[in-house]
Amino acid sequence: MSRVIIFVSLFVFLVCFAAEDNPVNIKAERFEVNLSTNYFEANEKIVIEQGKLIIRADKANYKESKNKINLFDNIIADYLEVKIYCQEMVFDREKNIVNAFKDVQVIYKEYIVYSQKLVYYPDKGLMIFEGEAIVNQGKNVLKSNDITLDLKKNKIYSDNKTNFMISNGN
Amino acid sequence: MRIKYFFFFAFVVLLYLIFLRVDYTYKSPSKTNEPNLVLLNANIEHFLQGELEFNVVAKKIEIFDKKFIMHESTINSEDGLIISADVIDYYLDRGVVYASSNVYFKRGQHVYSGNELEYDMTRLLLKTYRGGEFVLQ
Repeated sequence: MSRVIIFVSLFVFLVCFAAEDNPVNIKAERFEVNLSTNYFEANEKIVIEQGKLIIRADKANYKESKNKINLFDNIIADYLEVKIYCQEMVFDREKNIVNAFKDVQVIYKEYIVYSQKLVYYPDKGLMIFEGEAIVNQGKNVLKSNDITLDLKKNKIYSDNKTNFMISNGN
Repeated sequence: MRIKYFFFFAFVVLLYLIFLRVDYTYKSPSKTNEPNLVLLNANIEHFLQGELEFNVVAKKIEIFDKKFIMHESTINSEDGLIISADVIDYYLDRGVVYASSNVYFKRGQHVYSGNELEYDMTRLLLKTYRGGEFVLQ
């Protein structure tokens, strides 16, 4: 009998979990939507909210079949204590991955990271900076290629040659 | 004698200042001429025009030669379209809806709420203006 109860409880839990959707709210001054192709374009004062992730930008488009939101110009993304500034961003709704491009700047606690490309996994708390990246942590400056910042473990990894400097504060 | 010119000049300046304060950003196309027919508390169950078919519930419908102006109205169609707004202008020749003030739009899973929209019912093209919010599932 208890097995049946456990099975039913598990089934109900799984059904509830599967039915839970993850809607995204998009605010903007202007929208243009083609409802036959489900292609969305948003312009001016864009604010996108999905769960705890909030992204602001000047332009955005979204094609439902691809389930990715492309954002352009003056982008600011907030997720808990992480703040990302950049000029281009792709938010993969399905995989919950944020790709940031062009003049990427990340601020997280005492870290400030500059790069040209970032792949951010908010759920895992992982930030992978592709290409050259500069990490400032207080007086410490770290310069390397392909840096991974693990926010949960508060650690930085790099397989490449790394320059580590302690600034004298000047 | 000169004081007369001064008053005239002041009057012109006053007119100019009043003119500057007038907001021309949105002209309602609603009040251009008298309607052919006015329906109050209307409930049109089957509005048919070509391939378009929808239902309208409105507090007031003004019927002109080429357009309907629906006040405090809701449009429903069988494909799941819902548009409601304080004012909805429907252009018969183009199959285009202009909705303004307290606009709510729903089609399929997509929901919009905002201030102003234009929806081409035949080409399924939606444009919105003056701010608003979409909810995508």
